[in-house]
Amino acid sequence: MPKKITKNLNLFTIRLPLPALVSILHRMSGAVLFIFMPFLVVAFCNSLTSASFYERTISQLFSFPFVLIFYFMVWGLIHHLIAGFRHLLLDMQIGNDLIVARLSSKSVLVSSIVGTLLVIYLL
Amino acid sequence: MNVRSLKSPFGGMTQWLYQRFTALFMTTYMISLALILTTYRPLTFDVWASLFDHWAIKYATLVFFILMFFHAWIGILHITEDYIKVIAVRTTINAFLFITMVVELIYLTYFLIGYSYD
Repeated sequence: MPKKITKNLNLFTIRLPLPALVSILHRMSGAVLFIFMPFLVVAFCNSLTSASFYERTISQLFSFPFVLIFYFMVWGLIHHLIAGFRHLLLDMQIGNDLIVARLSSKSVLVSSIVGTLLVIYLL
Repeated sequence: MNVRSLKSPFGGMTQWLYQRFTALFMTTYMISLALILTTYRPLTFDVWASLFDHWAIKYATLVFFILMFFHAWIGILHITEDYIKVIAVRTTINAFLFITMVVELIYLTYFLIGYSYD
């Protein structure tokens, strides 16, 4: 009788290794940036059109539904940037060891959240 | 239509290189822009608009967006290839995303090239 292989593909109970988490978030943040890019493009062009449009764009950007998208994009951008930087280091064979890879993925996760909070605080 | 044919002008290795070089340019651009913007702390419309009226920043912005969509397009091809197994569906979604991307790019190019702040 063949041995039954235990499989667990339940996303709510799977424990991703930290580097895998960073990797999938890198992909997700890229997709998020791409999906919400039309909003940013329109906001960017509007903000340059005239002074009144500029004021209106900024007040819209910080009004309720859009501010969540905006902060989400800020997080996506920062995470994508830092995780991409880590990716470049891995390409250059820096930090390939398991301990270093775990440490660097932890610091990517933490620093992207800290960076997002910092940007929200500064804006 | 075969999705591979969309990819064929760039093999795997060149895609890999394009991702990295576009990323380097975009990082440089964004860090420079962020540094420039932080020197004008109350960021008024006059400062914002005259900044993008400067030819260097205007064309760097245009190049930034072109490279960004190029970078994003390679990423999108990889994502849809991984998660959408039915080729007809995948190709349709790819085509839709490509068209939205090109529309955004044309809009931006038209806007930025014609842009001037008086």
